[in-house]
Amino acid sequence: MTIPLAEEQRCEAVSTVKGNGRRIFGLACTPADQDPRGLVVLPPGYERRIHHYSVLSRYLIRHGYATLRFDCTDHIGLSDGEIFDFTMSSMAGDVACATAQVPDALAELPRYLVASSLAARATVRALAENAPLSARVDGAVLILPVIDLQDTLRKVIGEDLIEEWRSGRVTDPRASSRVLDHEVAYGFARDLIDAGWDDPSGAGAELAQLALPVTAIAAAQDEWVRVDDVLAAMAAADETPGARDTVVLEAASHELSHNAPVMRLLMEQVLGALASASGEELAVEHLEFDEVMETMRSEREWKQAEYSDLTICEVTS
Amino acid sequence: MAIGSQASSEPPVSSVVAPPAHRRVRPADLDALDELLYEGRDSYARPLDEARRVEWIAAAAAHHMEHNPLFARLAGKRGFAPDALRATGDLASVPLLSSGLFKRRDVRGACSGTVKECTSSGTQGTRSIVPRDRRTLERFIGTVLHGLHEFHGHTELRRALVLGPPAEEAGDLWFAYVLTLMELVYDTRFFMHDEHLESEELHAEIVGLQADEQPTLVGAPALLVDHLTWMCERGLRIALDPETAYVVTAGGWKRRGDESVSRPELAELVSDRLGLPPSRIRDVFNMVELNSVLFECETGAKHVPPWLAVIALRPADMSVADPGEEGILTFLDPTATSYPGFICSDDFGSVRAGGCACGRHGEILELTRRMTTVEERGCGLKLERYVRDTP
Repeated sequence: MTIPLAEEQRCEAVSTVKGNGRRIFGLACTPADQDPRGLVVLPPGYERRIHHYSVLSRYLIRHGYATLRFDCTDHIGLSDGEIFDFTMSSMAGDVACATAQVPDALAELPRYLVASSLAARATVRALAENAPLSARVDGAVLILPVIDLQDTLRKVIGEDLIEEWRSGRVTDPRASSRVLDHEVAYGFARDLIDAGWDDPSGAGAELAQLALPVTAIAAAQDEWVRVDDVLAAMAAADETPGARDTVVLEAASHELSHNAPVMRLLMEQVLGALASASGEELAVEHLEFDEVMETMRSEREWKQAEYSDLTICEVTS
Repeated sequence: MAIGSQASSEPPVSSVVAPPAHRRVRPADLDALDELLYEGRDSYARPLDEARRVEWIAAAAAHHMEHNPLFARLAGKRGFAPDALRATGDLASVPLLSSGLFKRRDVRGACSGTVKECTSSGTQGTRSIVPRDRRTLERFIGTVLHGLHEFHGHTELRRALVLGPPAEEAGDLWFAYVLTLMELVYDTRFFMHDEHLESEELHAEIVGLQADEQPTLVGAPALLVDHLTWMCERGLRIALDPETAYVVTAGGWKRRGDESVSRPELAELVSDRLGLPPSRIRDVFNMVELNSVLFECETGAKHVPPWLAVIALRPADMSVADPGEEGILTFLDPTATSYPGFICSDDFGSVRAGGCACGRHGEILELTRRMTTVEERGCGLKLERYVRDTP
């Protein structure tokens, strides 16, 4: 049975401010007809915004979760700053802030993180360096997590930003390089080195510090992230008290959203991981084709209107 | 996990790290054809894999024989067997449904979930109805995304400006529905409401684009000409970036065939008013019965995707035309699961192999004209007779 989007969820805009004064714009959605069983925070990957996670969010809402999505600061989207100034440390700060500072109505719910690609790496860092936050989170799902940033960036850009900065070939942090669709300043590369993001073993070491249940989902044909890196990082964390699970999606690349059967499988894995983190079982009910279409269309239109018809909830720390 | 607990004279191997434990999962409804549709890249970089295409078409035929009584009867009448196709590779042996049949018969087989009844525009009086289930629709979208990746390149900066109605007005009309799918991939605006083209709004939208936004104007050629004419009448010109902007036409001229302008004339208009060279004008081919989209490359050639077979048949005896020889176009599309995608169309054209000047491999489709005469239409009717005469 097809359920209209408006009947299934209630949404409000969320605004919160990071420690550095930057404002984060977000979108909180809750099931329309039931109390949420948990809150899932969905940090966006590089060049991803709120609407890119619309289908994942609707799946979560259908299964009783509230969701919180946001645009990163110093990035594309409605939060403060421009993507020219993007850094991984800024992204990790956004994850920490958005996960810690949630609307009052959602604050008491079990809290989960589902993050993909670069945001998954940022999520691991955000949790590892913030014990109180990590203790507040009940589980994390890392979708196609970037582990070896230098290797991934080489594959994405075709040049080695880290080596260029490290070797001194580039010394101006305001010089820029094209990263996919946008120019990003070399401050990005400087941050990767200065803050230790360039260490390929760092993700495993940070994961090993996390006591919460973590599921990592890799793609067998990922052109940007080596599956073995994900497996190794997760194996490095095997001795922690938190449960670990690693899943490899066959016949899938880094661009999951274009592969409908794989997307359904991904949703099953994410929902299964969240249910497992809370010791529950969950029967997955898939969205109908028309529901997926309606969700994507509505959220694209919403985004183009900059969510102007929503009330805004100001969240403070 | 420590290895080497058994007694052995070999040195202890407990330092060997076992492969990390993990689960491998795969969607049950994803086969090799789906992998190419959804994940295939550089699909035209190598010569066509004919054996693979034959296998996909044979498998699709077997599926329809099992699940579609109409096709099963047709195959029985023709003495067609998928294994024989696998053995001979004779694609011309596959039974065809004339496009006219979709106007008169329910062609659906087993369908998964909700079925969308996709309708044609009814240019010749009666509307075709093509039942698409979820898997068929998803695969159709897969063919669109596959083509966009290959021929237009994917970027989040693209803006689709559609000379057509939004989804809520498109209804089941296939062409309009297909245009609304742009919304799934790009930020999109629609410039047709209540059957009225909003040229002024479209022009303002283009003028107001941000510097890094990459527009694609999409619509039927007649509406594109309407808009360009509107610009001419007001002396308006825009210089779109020839490195990033596209004009995409689709759907043909339909009821406005009398007003059609040639491709060179259209290119002249686009160049004059939008500042784009011919290489940035791309027609795409699809029809309501066809579940794949054929994209044009920068040289203006329509590339046949590697899963699809297009065969031109001589109208006199329905024999296979030589490469480059005009004939009635037939399509063997294995991506359709809820109906047989083996279609005898109302179009004339030719097919040639051997690749393209753009450097891509594979087959090229050249459309020449629609069927017009009674004699020509008789070819399709011959095909239908097979079905009608079958109990």
